[in-house]
Amino acid sequence: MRLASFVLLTFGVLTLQAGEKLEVASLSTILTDIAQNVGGDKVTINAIIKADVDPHDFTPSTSDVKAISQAKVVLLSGNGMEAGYLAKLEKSVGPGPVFVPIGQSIKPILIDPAAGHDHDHGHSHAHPAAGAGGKIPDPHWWHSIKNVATATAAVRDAFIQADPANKAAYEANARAYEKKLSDLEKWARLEIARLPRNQRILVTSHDAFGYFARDYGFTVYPVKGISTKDQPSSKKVRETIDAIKKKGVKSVFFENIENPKVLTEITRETGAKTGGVLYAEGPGKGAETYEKMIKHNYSVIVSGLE
Amino acid sequence: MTGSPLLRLLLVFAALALIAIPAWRLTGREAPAPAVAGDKLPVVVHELALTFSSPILPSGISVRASNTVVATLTPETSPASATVSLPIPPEGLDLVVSATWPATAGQTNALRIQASLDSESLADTTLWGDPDVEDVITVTAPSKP
Repeated sequence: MRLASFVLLTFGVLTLQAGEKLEVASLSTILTDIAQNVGGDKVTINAIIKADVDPHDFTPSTSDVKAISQAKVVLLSGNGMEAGYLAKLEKSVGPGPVFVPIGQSIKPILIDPAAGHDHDHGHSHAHPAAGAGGKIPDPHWWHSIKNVATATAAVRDAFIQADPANKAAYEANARAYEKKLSDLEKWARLEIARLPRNQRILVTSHDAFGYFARDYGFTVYPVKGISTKDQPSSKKVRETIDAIKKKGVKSVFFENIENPKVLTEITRETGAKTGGVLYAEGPGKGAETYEKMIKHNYSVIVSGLE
Repeated sequence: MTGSPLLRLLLVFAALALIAIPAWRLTGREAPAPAVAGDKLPVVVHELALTFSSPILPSGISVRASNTVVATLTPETSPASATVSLPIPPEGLDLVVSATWPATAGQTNALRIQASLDSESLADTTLWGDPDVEDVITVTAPSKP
């Protein structure tokens, strides 16, 4: 109901000429992958944020704004990920494109925005507006395969609303992709089950794996908060080091888009190994689809901690 | 400072030597020892009772814990039972249950797995296969360790 409501409120009636493809712009590599699977040959997707680009650090360029202005549907990760530039972007592109914050269709984990980082080092990223209790949604919803299934349904509905003539195709494609996600989820359960529950401790650069931790019974010790632009607090680094030593954590994990300096120092102080590199913000070189990203991440985590 | 240059030199060396000892203790660091387990609670081994129920008898059932096979059955009746000795940490225990059915069984099969300890239910899950089953059940830690 929530899903249907936000899609209906977001769209006016848009019609395409027969044979014309639906122009889609995507501000998330995850949503680019979902859109390609759901849209198939009925859509043309302009991936504004590319693989291995940090979305926390992204600002659209003039050419990006022009490309977005030519799209009928603009897919956003939502939950504050685009907070730093969205208002200005919507004003710049004018009334044509419809912005669809897919993350809003997903029930978020709420977190303390001040946890894990300092705000006195001159950085300028924005946080989403805090809700009741001062908490904000964790924007990294894609680290739960169930959330990606929900996002798939939201993308399907957005495409149908914009291009009702191809409804059957979008529904069939979404069903096929949801089956793939269901198989991926089963693979994930079997893979993670190799690791005893009392060894499920994940030390990473920034706080991107909360949804993964919730789904599979992990405790995460991120050095930074939910944004890669946060500065790690000395208290957080100390807590991480103490946890590694006390719990006998074997490995820590770098991220493909992050500077490994702080984690490298932590491994020196604790003797923990580097378990491998994880894709935190979406597919990247070597793991070009969501499925490949998940299989890579989970295999690396399990191998590093076994 | 007046006096013998040699004496002055010896005094300087003595002063440096006195400073060197605490300086070395502050800066000379041994490589950190590898991460070792802290004070962990001992994990108790439990006799876990497993019951398997299915409308159509599977040809075979196996149960794995962390890649180690802990039980195999060729059930002759439903429900079938097995007892496994396993440590169950406070975080719980994941078991991978695999079951195969004869070709005549049809395309979709269900297997209900119940785990209990001293009549306390720790898991009650139904797994579905098309036609065979391989999936994870999570056994919660018993209320009395």
